[in-house]
Amino acid sequence: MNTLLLRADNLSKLSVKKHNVAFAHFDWPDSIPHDTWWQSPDLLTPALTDKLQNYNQQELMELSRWECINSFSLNYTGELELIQEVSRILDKVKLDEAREYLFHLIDEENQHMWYFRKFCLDYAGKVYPNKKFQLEKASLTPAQDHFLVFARILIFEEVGHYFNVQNARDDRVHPFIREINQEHYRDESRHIAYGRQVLEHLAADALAEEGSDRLLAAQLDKSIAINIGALYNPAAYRDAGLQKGMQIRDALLSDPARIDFHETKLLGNFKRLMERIGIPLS
Amino acid sequence: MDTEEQKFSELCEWLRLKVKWQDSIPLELDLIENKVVNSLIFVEFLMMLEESTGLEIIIDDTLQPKVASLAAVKTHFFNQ
Repeated sequence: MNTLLLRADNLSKLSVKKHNVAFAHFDWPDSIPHDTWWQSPDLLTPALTDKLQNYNQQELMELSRWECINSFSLNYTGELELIQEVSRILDKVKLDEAREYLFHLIDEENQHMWYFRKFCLDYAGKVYPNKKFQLEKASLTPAQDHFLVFARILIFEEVGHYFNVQNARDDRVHPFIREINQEHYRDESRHIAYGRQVLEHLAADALAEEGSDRLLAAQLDKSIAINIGALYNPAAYRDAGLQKGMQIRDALLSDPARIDFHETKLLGNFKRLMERIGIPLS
Repeated sequence: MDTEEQKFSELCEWLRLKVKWQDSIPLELDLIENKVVNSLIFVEFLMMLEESTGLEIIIDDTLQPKVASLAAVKTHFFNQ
């Protein structure tokens, strides 16, 4: 049994053993107070920058509420896209028996989607819509297409994973929100382990044609920019009562401390994996 | 309070600076077909449009013709 198959088999057994039905798992509170941390203050987009001092604690708590809703909205819309993309290639991607785990992945992501959407609607009355819009369609071989599906999923999951871990760990965050992050973290750590193995397995075919490394790198650099940019939502700034949301977004996205945070904390694992596989990201 | 016309002009100027266009972007120019915007700039353009109008822009199959040119944007989002 090869490494991918062995790992996928073990992960499938874990998913079956754990089989947690999220629909009945959580004890949903009637409301969550506004004057509490909905997200770790260390994860707020102005954190690590000198712009943080522009806001008082009440403003930051309100921002944490809307950035939590943004983060959960991204989980909902991202997981919806993930299920669509994995379903599209389910019968085509060369995974042999390791394909089995994809059924668990879709099952678990479906449950996550349900609770993230419910949270946003119950406690904020809205889900921020997906702002992804693909204008340029690259010409890809099936192997490149399949590789990119899993690579994009891994970028999305690695970013979300960091947020889950930090929020679950931070006892300043509201206990119910910590619990949701903890629950999500447990499932996502299996998905990330699987995704990394799948990418190593699919890389050889995806890189077979000359120039594939640069083509895939360009696509992934774009995906990274979209995923990072989505964390800085001007609508969330406006909902938190902060004016000129686009100016705040531009200033924070270009702040050196934030760029370093993206590179080290959010993208470090993914970029190291791509480098090992032979895809040079910028 | 900015008028609709001022807000639209500010949006056009924001896009001109973003895509480093030398003169005013012709209102009828198809921004997508002529590759004036890429996917990343387009997303920011939609965010800026939301900020200018106070509307929430939903990305669906009907959106592209409404934002293909600045003239279309003006018709669909500023002249209501």
